[in-house]
Amino acid sequence: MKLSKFIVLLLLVFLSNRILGQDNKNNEKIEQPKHSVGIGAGFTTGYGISYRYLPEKLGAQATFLILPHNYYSSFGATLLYKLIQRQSSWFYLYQSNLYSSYRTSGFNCGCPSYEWFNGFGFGVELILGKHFGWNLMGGTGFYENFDKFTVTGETGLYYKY
Amino acid sequence: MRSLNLIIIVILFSGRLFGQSLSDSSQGVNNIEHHIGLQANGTGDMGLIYQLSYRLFYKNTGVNFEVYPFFSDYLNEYNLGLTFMYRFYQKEKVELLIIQNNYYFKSDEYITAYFYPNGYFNNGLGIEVDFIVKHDFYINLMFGGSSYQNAESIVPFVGVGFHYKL
Repeated sequence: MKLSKFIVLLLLVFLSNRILGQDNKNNEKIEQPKHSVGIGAGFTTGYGISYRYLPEKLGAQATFLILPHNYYSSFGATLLYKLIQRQSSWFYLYQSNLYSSYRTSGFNCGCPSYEWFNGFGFGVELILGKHFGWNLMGGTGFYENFDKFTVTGETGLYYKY
Repeated sequence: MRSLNLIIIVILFSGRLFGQSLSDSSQGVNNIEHHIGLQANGTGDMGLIYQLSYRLFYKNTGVNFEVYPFFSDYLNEYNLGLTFMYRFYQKEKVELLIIQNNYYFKSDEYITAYFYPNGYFNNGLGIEVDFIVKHDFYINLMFGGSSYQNAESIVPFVGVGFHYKL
């Protein structure tokens, strides 16, 4: 795990310095709606209906999906931190946490099981028209109760109001 | 640990300098660009590898750092990439680049208590087409030819990605 720690550290340093150096340039004063609702899909942020609240720079996202017939449910909570605001897009960092529960399809048992997913990375929202935003997110994440560590990608389409 | 500290200090300072130069140049012409994104590359029979990507351009010359980590109980692997780029065509909505990529792929697999280490270099040459969707958002398509597994064979490579200009 030494290498993974090193990589995460590198990313953090790259991003933080980039941000410190050019903070003034990208602080365009653009009013953005605080609330967003839409659909999201991501390995560590979750799948399904998603809501975002972003009053200023710091915000949060909640995403959930419940499939009762498949005994599947997932609940995601993600922190967002806006770094760059532009007229047609904005850039942010995120830290995501996802809890998903399901029933295993074992021979003799549909045993209840659960998994945690946690991620960290960056995201971009492309502003489409007056009210819509399309998000692309990328980073690294821990999968299946910290069993795996690898790259993650997430997306979402939101209506902003 | 000492070398790690050194690397971090170097990056810390270089980051400050790059950032500084960008904000300094806000009143003039900005020659330095930073892009961050995600891309998927495929060479030979490796399948697609998803990588985090950071690009630094000075005028039309750029360098791209890529990393793909995968760590688990049974398989540890990573891909490190260093790609040199030259932008030779630039319009409002599209850019063309020559790319020379260098990847080191390392995979350590544990199968029934046996350990299978595997590591090799892939080096390629190709073309990248960048579609500028917004003024700061790029969709990238890459293709070309690559030496594969320490130049044992020559195979095609493809790649697709997106980058955001910071």
